[in-house]
Amino acid sequence: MLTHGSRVCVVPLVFRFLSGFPCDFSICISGTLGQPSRVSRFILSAQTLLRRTTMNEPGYSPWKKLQEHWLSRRNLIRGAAGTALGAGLLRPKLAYADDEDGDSERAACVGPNPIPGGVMGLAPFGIFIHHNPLNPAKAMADINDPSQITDFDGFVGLTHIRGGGMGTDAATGAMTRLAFQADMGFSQGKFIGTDGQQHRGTFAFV
Amino acid sequence: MYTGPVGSASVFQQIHDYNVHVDRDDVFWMIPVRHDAVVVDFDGSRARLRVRDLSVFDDHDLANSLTQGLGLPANPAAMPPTPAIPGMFPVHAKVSFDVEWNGVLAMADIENKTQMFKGSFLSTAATISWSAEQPGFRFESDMPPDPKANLISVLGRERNGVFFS
Repeated sequence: MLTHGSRVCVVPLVFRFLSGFPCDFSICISGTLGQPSRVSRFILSAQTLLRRTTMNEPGYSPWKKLQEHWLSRRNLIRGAAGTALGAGLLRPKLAYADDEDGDSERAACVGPNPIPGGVMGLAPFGIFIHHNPLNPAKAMADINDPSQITDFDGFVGLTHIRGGGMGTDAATGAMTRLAFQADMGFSQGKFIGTDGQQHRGTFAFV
Repeated sequence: MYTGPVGSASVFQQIHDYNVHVDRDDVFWMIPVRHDAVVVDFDGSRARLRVRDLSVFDDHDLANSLTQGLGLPANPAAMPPTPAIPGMFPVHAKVSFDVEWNGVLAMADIENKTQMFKGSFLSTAATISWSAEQPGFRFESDMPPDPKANLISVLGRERNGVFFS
C-alpha cells in the first residue's frame, strides 16, 4: 500500500516504479489501457481518411507512410498494455480529487474535463489542443481562458518563460549550454469531474 | 529544451520536450499534485508551484508530443520551407521545478461570455528554476533564475463552465 495524505491506495506492485503518483494507477489503469484518447482517435480517423483518399495518388507522401509505421507501433504497444512497459508509456487517468464533503476515505480517480476551447497547434498540420497559450502581445484584458480544465472555480497560474541552463551527458560528463521554454502552471480549486460530481483538486500544468 | 541561444524556441532545434501527455479525456498536460505543492496568496499577488521528481515523458519535441510520436512532414510551402521532424518514441524522465509568480505588472477583471469564464487576472513577474533527469542526460536551469526570462505570466482567480453564471 502507498499513501497520499490521509488516503490509502492499493497499488499493483508492477506499477509502483512507473509513477510518482501511485494512487492514479491503483484504480483507473484498467479503464485506460488500450483506450485511445480523443486526440489519438482524431489522428487515427485522420489517418484512415488520408489512406482512403490518397493511397493511390502520385503524391502519397513519406509522412503518411511514417504515420502508418508509428500508428502500427503505437497500436502494438497499446495492445500489449498488460505489460509494465506498455502501461508506463500510456497516460493513466489521474486525480487526487477530494469529495466536496471532505470524505477522506474516498480515493476515487476522478479527473476534470477539458475547456471546450483551445487552439490549433502545428499549423498547417493543425492538431486541436484544449489550451490557450499565453501571448505576450495581447493586452491583459483580452487574454483567453488560461485554465485547461472546465467547470472550474479556483486559482489558476500560467507562465511563458524562456531561459537557459546546462545539460550534461551522463555518460561522458560533457556539458552543453541549452535554452528552454517553460509553459507551466497550476489549477487549484473545485471542479465538476468526469463523474458529474463536484471535487476539489490541485493540478500542475506540465 | 533547445540547442539554439537562450531566448530561442524553434521546434527544429528542440531536443527535449517534457510533459505529462494529454489524458484520455483530452485534458491537456495536467496532472494532479499534492495540495501543498501550490501556495497562492492572490491578494498579495503571489503564488508558488513546487514539485520534486515528477514522472513525465520526454517526447523530444513539441511536434512529436502533439502527434503522439508521428513527427511532422516537411513543409515546402512554408516561408522558409521547413524540414521534416522524424517520429520519436517518448522516454521516461523526472523533473523538479519551483515556479514563482510575484509582483503585479497589470491586472484585469474579465467576463468572457463566449469562452464562459470570468475572474480577476494579474499579469505578474515570474521565475522558474527546474531540473530534469533521464537515462544518459540531466539538465539544470540557471541559478538564480533570471527574472528577465519571463515573457508573460498570469495569475488568476476564475470561474468557468458551469461556475460561470
